[in-house]
Amino acid sequence: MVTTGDRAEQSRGTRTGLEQLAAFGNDLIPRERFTSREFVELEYERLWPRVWQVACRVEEIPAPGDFVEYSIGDRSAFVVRTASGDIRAFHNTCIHRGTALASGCGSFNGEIRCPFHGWRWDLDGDNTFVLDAHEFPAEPAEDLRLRDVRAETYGGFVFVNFDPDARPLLDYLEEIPDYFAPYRPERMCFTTHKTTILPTNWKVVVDAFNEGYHISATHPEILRWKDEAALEYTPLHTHTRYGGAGWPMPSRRLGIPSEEVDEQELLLFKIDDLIDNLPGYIGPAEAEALRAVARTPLPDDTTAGDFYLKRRRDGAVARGLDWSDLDDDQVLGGDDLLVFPNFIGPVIAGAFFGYRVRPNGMDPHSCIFELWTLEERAGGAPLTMCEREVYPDWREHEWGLVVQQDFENFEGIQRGLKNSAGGGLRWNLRQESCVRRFHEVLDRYLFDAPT
Amino acid sequence: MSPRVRVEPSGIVLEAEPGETVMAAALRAGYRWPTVCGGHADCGVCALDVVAAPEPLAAASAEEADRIAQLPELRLYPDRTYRLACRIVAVDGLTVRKRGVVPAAGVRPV
Repeated sequence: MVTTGDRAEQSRGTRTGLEQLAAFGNDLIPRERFTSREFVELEYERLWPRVWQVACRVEEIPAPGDFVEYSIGDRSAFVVRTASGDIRAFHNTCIHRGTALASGCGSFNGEIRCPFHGWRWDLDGDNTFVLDAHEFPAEPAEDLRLRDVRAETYGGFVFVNFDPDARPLLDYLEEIPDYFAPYRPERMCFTTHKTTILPTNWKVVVDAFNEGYHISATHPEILRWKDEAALEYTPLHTHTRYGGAGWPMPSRRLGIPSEEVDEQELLLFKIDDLIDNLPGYIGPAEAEALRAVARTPLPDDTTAGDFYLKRRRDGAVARGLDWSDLDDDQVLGGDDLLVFPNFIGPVIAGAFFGYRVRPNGMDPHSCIFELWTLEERAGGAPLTMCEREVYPDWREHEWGLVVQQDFENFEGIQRGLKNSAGGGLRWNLRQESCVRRFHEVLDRYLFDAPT
Repeated sequence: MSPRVRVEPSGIVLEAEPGETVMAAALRAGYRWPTVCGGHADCGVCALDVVAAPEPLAAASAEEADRIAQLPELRLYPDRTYRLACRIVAVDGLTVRKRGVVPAAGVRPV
């Protein structure tokens, strides 16, 4: 048996004592992983500089010069559409005196210009202007380029990696594209882009959305139409996936015999819950049509599952969408994907409901949270960007019941985690196996732990 | 005489003790009543609808009324009278509708 001590010795953790916070084997999980400032520092030193991170979507930067800044702690990059239509990323700092060149999102007017002394670069990062250049020591043009950041795209998502030696994005993503591709994320575009601050560690948020074990206590209304105990958990080597349990039926936890199930009611519970309580989950183009049709009486011998499946598929055809690569389980349910480390959420037929979460500075008790909803568009239809919304206080906005229920947990989770008298934490071996995998992978980066 | 409560669609008849809730009477008689919070008026999963009541029922407490107001069932059937089985006190002649009330012995643990 491998003990914590052996594993810690194998690791090359440089910070004395921090290895004790690793989450190994069946040991209890140290709660300081979520509360310690030293752990935050270790993540900034060993995790964030080395992983591919979702920076933006391609539809946010349709025209040459359009840019989006992506920052993680003190590191900032900006992604820009070049004159030739490519996508590049640069460290967000002037090579002259260091000024940040991009803030938030917007458009460079043909060139990137430093506001301090007016130096300029083309959209490929080559320097085009230095004021009084003859008064500087001569330097090769290459040295006056903006500093590149690796940027690659998958499925309309633009990822950046601050490690110039990082392996290619598609290698990093492992089987994620196998799960994602049938839903055609490259044909989706934004319907919601909301940012807020949550009073908890970023990993608490990732963990909360990486299991369905909390559904019965936190979202009991879902039990009426989903057998959430039947969800399948598929930890990948680096990322995680869970899904299945799509066929509408009451949770086995309710103990309702099959002969007592009312299929019409089941259909209405599912459709109303998804549309009313998870706004954006089913795209707006589909939601109201589905709601209306669910109120027509179910034909005899037709189950809620048959009906939902047929109506969704027929609706997709009517809207010009190609769902031929999606099997029935995918049209009924979907796949909840975690792209390690901080991009997570369900992709369903026709839409994606994703969360991007980052630490908020050095504070282990606060994080920057974004809700991104995407909707699939028919081939040929333009992929557009929506309005961006920012809510500094999450309580100032109506997020929909399900997200609200999750948010209401976070303050109490973080407050409780600070109470070290509670000792180590525990994970369910099956339903929280993706949570465990996330932390094992995190430790691979932080402590060189084997997985 | 102890209050008797009928549960549809199973047709089970519960004999309650005075002051006992419908859910407590069912559990004591060896039935399983759907719940995930275990009788804390939190999950709403135990909700029943009142089919017939011989006398005006005691009004729901603020706690119970708040939880009932959030029930998805109420959106589907706004005319029905929903109550929480973990809070409503059994009265004689009460008939309620609740699916999934089955002998506990026949239920596989989840």
